[in-house]
Amino acid sequence: MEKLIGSYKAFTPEKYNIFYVLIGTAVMSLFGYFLGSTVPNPVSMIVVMVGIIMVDMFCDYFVFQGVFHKNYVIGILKNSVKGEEVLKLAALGDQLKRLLQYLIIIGVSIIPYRNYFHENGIVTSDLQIVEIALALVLVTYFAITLSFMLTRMNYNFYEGIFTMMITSIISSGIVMGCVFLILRADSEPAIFIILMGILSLGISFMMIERIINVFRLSFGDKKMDRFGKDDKKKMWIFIAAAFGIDYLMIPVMYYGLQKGLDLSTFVAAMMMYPACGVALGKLFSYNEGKIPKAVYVTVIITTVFGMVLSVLSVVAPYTLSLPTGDMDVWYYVLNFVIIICSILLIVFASTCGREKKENGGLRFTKPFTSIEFIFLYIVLFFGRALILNIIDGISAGDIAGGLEAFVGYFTQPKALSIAFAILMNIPFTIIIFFGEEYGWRYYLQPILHKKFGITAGTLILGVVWAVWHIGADFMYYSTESGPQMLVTQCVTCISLAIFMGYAYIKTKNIWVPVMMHLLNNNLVLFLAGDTSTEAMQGNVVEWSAIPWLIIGAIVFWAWIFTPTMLGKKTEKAENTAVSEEA
Amino acid sequence: MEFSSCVHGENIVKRYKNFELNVPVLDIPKGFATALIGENGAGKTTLLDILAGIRLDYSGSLKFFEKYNDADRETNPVVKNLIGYEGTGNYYLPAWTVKQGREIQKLLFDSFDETKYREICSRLAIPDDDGKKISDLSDGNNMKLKLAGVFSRKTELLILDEPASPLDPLMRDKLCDMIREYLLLDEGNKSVLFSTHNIADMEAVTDYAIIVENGTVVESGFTEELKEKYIVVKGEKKAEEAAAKVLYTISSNNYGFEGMALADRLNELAGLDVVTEPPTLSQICVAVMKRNSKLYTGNIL
Repeated sequence: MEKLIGSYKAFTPEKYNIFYVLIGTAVMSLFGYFLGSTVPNPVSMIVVMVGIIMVDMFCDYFVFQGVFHKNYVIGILKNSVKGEEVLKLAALGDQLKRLLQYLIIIGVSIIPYRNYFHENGIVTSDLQIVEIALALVLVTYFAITLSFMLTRMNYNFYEGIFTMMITSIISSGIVMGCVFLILRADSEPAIFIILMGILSLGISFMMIERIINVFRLSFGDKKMDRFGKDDKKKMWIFIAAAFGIDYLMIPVMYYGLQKGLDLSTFVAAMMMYPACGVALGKLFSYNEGKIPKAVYVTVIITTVFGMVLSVLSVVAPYTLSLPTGDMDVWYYVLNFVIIICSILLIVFASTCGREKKENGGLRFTKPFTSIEFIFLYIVLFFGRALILNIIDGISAGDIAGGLEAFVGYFTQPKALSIAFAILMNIPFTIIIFFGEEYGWRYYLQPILHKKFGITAGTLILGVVWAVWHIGADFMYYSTESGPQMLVTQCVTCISLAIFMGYAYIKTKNIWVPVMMHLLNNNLVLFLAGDTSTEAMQGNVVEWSAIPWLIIGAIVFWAWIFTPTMLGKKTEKAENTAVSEEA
Repeated sequence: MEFSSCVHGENIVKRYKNFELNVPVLDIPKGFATALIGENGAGKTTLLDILAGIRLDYSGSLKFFEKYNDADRETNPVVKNLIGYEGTGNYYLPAWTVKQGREIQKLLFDSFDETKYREICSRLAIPDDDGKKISDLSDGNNMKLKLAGVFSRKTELLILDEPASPLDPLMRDKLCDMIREYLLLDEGNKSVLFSTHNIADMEAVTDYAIIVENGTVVESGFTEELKEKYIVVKGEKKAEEAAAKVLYTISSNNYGFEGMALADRLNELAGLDVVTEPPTLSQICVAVMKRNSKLYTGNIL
């Protein structure tokens, strides 16, 4: 703590700390309080928040300029073993100071709004006012940090001023939108605390990393070998993004479920979190060599959109009437984002050059084996369906009927159109399947294999993958039979983890599991004879069905008995080694 | 002369777009003051930055204090703490005040001794004004402040980049004394490496000289050895032509010539009407630099 304050003080002008931080906070708090007691309404709240942003930006730019701009790359820091630590602490201190300042200003300003909130039914208890205050603080903090990220990239004074104007408009827009959403009668500020908390943490992390990155790069050592492998850091980023965001969204989903809203946006968005974790980890580690940055940025943008839109879909639900039926507008927007980003993903991933592809694991290696595996998957998928149909037939005492039902999938009038729709969907939805597989198969699988061996590693991955679905299992795929759905999910995920893992080990081609995952999710619609997402929602699973599912999935989990998956083939060890190098 | 080296480097290579630093062997003797001498742009700062760990994009191997290599310098905090570095250009943040400069050194260096720092500052007559911005100080005072910083740490190797250039003649003399004092603190264990393009001022303190030209070391040795190796030759106009074939460098005027010869080729000048005298270090440096410089040797105007 002492170090933190010391580092912060060493990097900030004393005059700035006295005049802006202390006196400025007091003046802004009084101003907020005064404004709130005269005209207590959302607009005055926005004025206070935008005021904070403007004052902070101008002070940072004129008084404070230079400290966290590129100038901090100085000899004395580079000569010291603690240079990086002190710099990091100073940047952290700067962010914490900002957060504390906003807590005070907004905390004081919100007091006179108490009556207004109660009269308009925005809150029912004073605790909710605290929640609102916290949500507003995080919104302001996020907006200003976003602006700083952009302005601090400019070292030229006049360009900087221009960027500052643009970014103040953006951040004011964010603030306005959020204030109106938070101060609605039926809003739930806790959701904003979660969303803005995630975004703020993410952006603060990025901001500090950027400062450290510029500092490290100034040594001129592009490979950054001296900083060692960043595997641990990458792992934490992956866990934070893939599981942290996923689980933080559960309460938000629950809130939406209580309100009877469509949760499709959450389920589509959550598929991006694993890849986002890998992308962030790769972008913020230093020994990755040339990486496909455009691909990673596309993934991150899709994720952020997904996250924000899924929260919007419960805090500001808006339904659109389409000829095909009602559709949540945010889900519609997300689909639009997914289409654009999927195309971008294909373009960037195929044009980024051999070295970047190799480092990002994006190469379409062994094309013939790969395509064979994808077709094998389709065969196995229908094989499973056939087994289940036969089981159904036996239990009903009519095997021919079961077979007929199986043949019925292909002879149904919609069969061709569904198949066509699935085919057409590939380039427009691939990013969400890439989103999952890039995390599980490309990133996590080799790590687990190395740690626990191929067999155990694959099984653990299956369980991890299934448990990751828990929110969707209990609130989307099935609302009444959550535990059964979770077990079903485990069966599916473990058996798919085995087969997909096998295919990935054999081909080292991420697009194989991506295509399998895409086919898996879409062929389900083929079996249901329906192309809308409703086929996947609110299913009821009986406990008694689960053993049969396990038997059906034999086509996938039987692959565990291949020499490769039992870890008996030595050639595989080489393959794992290759993937580690990559 | 036999010596143990404080820094030993092999095949240090750093390529820029139109300049290459290439030092096959580098030895900084332990327990002495070493001067790195060269023209502007000869690669002095680059070499010092590489040794201090400010630049890491070089190839080659380094050995510090006879036991640590350059990977240890980056991973083992002990090594970097033993190296005191003072650089030109961005050393302090321009916005820092004198007080902040002091505070940050307390944070950055474990062995920083604040009382010693204050003492050195007052002895060097640096204005005692905590609120003053470092960028508002004069160049000389700025350098004094940096020197006070490195001298108040427990180090075994000081790397000083152009310490003398912003200082006045009196302060340069003082700096020589400070370096001597530093070397005597723990005799034989502490070493100083400083760069300069004006060797005359620092001649008093130079034990060992390394002359860099066009990115490579062209001459190095203890001052006494160099003074025995080279000799100044002066003569009249008529002897110039014959002497020019033997001399290392030569410059002529209307009345005669003056040049530098290698001492072991002196016998080749026998019979010519010349006088010889022992050279100063700066004469040697100029001669070596002249011989290796890219500058045009004839008349420029």
